[in-house]
Amino acid sequence: MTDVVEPADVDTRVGTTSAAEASAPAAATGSRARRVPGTVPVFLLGVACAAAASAYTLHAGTNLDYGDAMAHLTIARRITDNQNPGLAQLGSVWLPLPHLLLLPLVQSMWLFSTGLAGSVVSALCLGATSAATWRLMHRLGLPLPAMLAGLVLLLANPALLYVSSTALTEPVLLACLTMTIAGLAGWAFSPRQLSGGELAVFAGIPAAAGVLTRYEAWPLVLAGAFLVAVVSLRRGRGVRQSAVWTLSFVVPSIVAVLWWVAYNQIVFGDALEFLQGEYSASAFADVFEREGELTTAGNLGLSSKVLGWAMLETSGIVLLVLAAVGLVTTSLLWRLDDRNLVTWLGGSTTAFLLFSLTTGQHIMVNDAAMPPGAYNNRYVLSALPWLSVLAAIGLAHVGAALTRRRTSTAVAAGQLDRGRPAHVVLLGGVVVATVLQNLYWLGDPYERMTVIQEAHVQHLAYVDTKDAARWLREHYDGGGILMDQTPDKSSVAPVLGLPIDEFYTRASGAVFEEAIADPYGHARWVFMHRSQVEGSATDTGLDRVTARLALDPQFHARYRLVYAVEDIGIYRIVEGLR
Amino acid sequence: MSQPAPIGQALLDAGLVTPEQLDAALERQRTEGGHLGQQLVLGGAVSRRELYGALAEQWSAPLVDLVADPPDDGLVRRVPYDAALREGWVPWRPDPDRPERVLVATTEAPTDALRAQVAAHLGTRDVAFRTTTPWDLWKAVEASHRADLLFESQERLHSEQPAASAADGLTQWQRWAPLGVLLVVVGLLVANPAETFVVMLALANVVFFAAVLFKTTAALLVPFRHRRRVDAQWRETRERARRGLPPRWAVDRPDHELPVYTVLVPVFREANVVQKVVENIGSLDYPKSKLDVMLLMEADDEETIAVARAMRPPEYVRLVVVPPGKPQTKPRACNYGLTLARGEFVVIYDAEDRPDPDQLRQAVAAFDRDELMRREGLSHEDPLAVVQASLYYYNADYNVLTRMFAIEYAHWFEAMLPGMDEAGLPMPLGGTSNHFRADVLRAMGAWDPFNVTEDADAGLRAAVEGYRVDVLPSGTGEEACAETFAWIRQRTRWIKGYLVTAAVNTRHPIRFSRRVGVRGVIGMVGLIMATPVAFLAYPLALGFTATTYVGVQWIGLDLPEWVVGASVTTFLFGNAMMIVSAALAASWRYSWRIGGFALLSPLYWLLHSIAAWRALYQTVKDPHRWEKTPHGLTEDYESEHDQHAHLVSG
Repeated sequence: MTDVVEPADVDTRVGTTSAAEASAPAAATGSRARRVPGTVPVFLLGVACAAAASAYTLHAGTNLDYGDAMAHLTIARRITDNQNPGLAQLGSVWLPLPHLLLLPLVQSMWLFSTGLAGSVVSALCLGATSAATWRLMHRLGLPLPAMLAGLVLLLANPALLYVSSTALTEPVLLACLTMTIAGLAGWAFSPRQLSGGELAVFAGIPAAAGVLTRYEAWPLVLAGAFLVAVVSLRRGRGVRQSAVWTLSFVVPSIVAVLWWVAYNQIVFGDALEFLQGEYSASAFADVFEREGELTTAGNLGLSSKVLGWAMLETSGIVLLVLAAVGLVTTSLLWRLDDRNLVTWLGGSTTAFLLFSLTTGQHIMVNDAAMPPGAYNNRYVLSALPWLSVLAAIGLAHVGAALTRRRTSTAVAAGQLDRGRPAHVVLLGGVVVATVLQNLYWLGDPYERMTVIQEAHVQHLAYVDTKDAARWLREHYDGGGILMDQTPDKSSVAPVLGLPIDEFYTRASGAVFEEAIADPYGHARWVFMHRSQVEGSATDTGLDRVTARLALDPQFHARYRLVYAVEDIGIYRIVEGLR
Repeated sequence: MSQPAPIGQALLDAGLVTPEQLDAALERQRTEGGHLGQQLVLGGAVSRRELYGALAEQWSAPLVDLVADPPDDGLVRRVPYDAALREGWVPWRPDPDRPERVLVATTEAPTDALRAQVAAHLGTRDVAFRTTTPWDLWKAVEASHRADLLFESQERLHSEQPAASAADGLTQWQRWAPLGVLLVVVGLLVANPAETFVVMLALANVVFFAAVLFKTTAALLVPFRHRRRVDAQWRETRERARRGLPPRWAVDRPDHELPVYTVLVPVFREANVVQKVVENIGSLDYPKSKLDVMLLMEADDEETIAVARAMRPPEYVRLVVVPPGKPQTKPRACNYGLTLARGEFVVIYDAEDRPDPDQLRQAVAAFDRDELMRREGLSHEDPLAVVQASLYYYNADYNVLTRMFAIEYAHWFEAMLPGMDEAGLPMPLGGTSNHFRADVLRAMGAWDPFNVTEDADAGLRAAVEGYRVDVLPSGTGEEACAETFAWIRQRTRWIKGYLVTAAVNTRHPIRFSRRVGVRGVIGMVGLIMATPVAFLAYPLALGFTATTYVGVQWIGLDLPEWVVGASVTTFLFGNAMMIVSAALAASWRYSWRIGGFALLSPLYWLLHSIAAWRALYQTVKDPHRWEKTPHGLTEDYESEHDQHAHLVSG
């Protein structure tokens, strides 16, 4: 542990049940009291865990299994390396922040093609998530063994470690969520009343970053604003001051949303393109609905079952049970005080997922779904820090109860002292249970861990395209490449590892259509499906190069098929005929 | 026991002091120098009046109370106020028994030398002496010479160097120039909006970029300065070794050789912090008998005066009530204090300042070294007129605004000023902790009471007069303004001061250029002019860039690609450069926890822009208006960072 010893205000805070007492600001003190011991080491630990996971997945060649991971890397690099470069490459189904974070790193072709650019960003995000969760637990007044247990449960999760080695957006989201909640906790429990500006910086800006990362962060902003308003009013600071604080928290998110809407209007000519455009999530959901596969829509029971199964396979039974204990004890002992409101903030994303599943806003498929499969289960990772904190709180309460052999009421009136033997024993139990849980998972990860399962499924689905991409990478001798990278399983630019400005893709803008109309004047190479993609979710999933050239005899006369695997073909222009 | 001096024995015999008190005073006199009586008063052994009562008996010159029994105004005015204060006597009145004889009230022993001084001023040796206290003498001189003192404080600079004073405000052409520019721009916009927009966009970006370039270049010079100083130190060490001298020059004078140091503390409506002043000044490691501290209060500030009087400050602190007058500004108050100052050196501290304990000693050492170097022919630089201590904030992490303020100050004092020093450019001074040679300060006309940033103006005027300004490797903790609106008012004053300083110096641009040379012009244009202009241009550059970005995409605005590219690049690059250099300076000065907030600089600069536009308006409408910054807003809050703050300025 480093830094500075926290004053006794934390213990006092935990020991009370009165919301007013819990939130009463202490006398003005210096900034030292705001420090949370261990933050930097925990950050480094999180980074180290992700780095180790990245080393493993890079060695195993699995860090680019998710098609989305490759797509995120590609979008980021296209901003600068493209026939039509610029920030207008951002947008469509995904929010922009993860791509902007990847932007500097993907300038290196090596970091881009190996996927390490994503690993670096995600590792830093796991570090931030760990540190923020640690700070949150500290601010809730948990004893050290309980905090360590929460950290173990978080960092020993294979699914989280896997995504933290990839360019997926979940690590960024988790970092934003946890920093937001930790910032709100800092504001709510600070010995000295923090200003609106500090609230905006420490909680509002992380929340805004989350808003620009994934939609799961949007409900957190609403919940956070509610928390700020309630805590302010409880302090008796009046409606005006409460409004100032609440606005301080939400304004960065509002600015972020307005910027995003304006961006969509400017770039796509439709302020709501991200919601209802041809590449939006709702467009995909519509297709699933038409296909009859959006079975969770309008079905709360099935939605709960699917979400619950995803949480079980992602978090594990040990964490879920401990979190349930924590949920019960906080609800009984802390009731509606500030600590509980802060704790519950973490559940807002899970509530949002259930809501959006039930309303058909997005799709999630696992063994509990109809039909079964593996798709989008990693979304529930957003609950992992919350569950870990709940578990830590549960352990703290149980430990205190065991130590004193008193009733839960007495525990509530007492303190969750640090370093009690019971807590240490419980920490040991958590470590053992976590090891056992992981051994169970590792026994058959493709069946027992839905996030890993989905990665494996996608790995298998991309085998042919990736093989073709590697072949082209080895044999490429210059010249333009015509390729539609938008259809399903076609976004393999990192595996191709070639400068993207050599490609004519949809992201190239008008020259893509020109190249399709006149491939001979543009492309030495054509990479396409030899027959049109079947089972595409939307029309956007069709291979437009295939549609134009597959049956064109002129094309086949001028280009020679030089590589083929399954329905993928790579064509090279016949020199001398141009 | 040491052999007591006569006055000590007299006080002992009269039972006014104990042997222990006398011994203690003698010991302090041995180490610090000064009069034994003064040491006894400072030590609290006797009161001022008891001491001078005893002296009166010793001198056979009865004690008189010049407040209860004031002197003859006409007589007093025959002696210049500075001579009276310096020599410690004042003509009191004609002797009622022999009207041709003048009774002289003195604080010094009535020796032949004193008689000669009196004769030199009054033209007669027929005098008889009375004893009075320094406090009585000061009050008497102040009362009789009020008109002179007010002239010195308010009018002298304007009277003697009208071109250097801001009293006349803007010239006609300066007053109408902004309106003329505005009319031209509007006319051009009506006639040819697209090309005018391009030109304005380009100009705004050029101005912004030039300001950034100036500041960045200055910051980049800091490592060179450090290297040059280290090299010089090595050369000096080798040379000293060659001559068989100790490796380092012992610059510190022994206490008894230290000069009297005047500390001016202007306060206005700051009753809440006035108690702190005495504590903070009292913590200075400087012989109290050599301290001449003046708490300068405005006559209409009754609350502060009452609090100050009630706290019964120590003997070395004078409570000076500045008579009413116009303009009611800090420099006017300081000038008033300067007229009464006894010190060889003068420094200004704000009420809430916490200077490093050894700062005065370091300043004396800096002046001593400069004098030695020039005397020995080792330096051909201009004589040193003023040294500026580094300012930092002890409440740096109180809120976001204080963090941003701290970052700005760190950049200013750790990068900008040392860099400008390295480049040989004239340096504007900070608002406090600038240590002057009192005689030089008086000679250059003291502070301009009509300039709301008298500090910046004084630094430049010193350069113009052929003096040098240096940075002192010592710090002063200040309280950063923690409220946004108060900050905007303070910053409005500062930026207005820059505008006024620029206007004053460029009334006759060619004459100014000839006087200050190329470097002076660079300093004037690159800092004094560019700072307010950059802040005025910042929202325009931001707005133009955003409008360009949106306009090109959205409303079909047709701009040359190079304009769009250059403006966006300039804007992004300029912001990035400033953020990085500020973050580095603040991380070095405080910690990364503060430095990281430099990312919010673009928002902070928008606040500057609000202040800059207010300042521009006030410069035209009300150039002398002084918007006071409230102090004590953060009470006793203390950031941990100042406890391990780095000092790199030296």
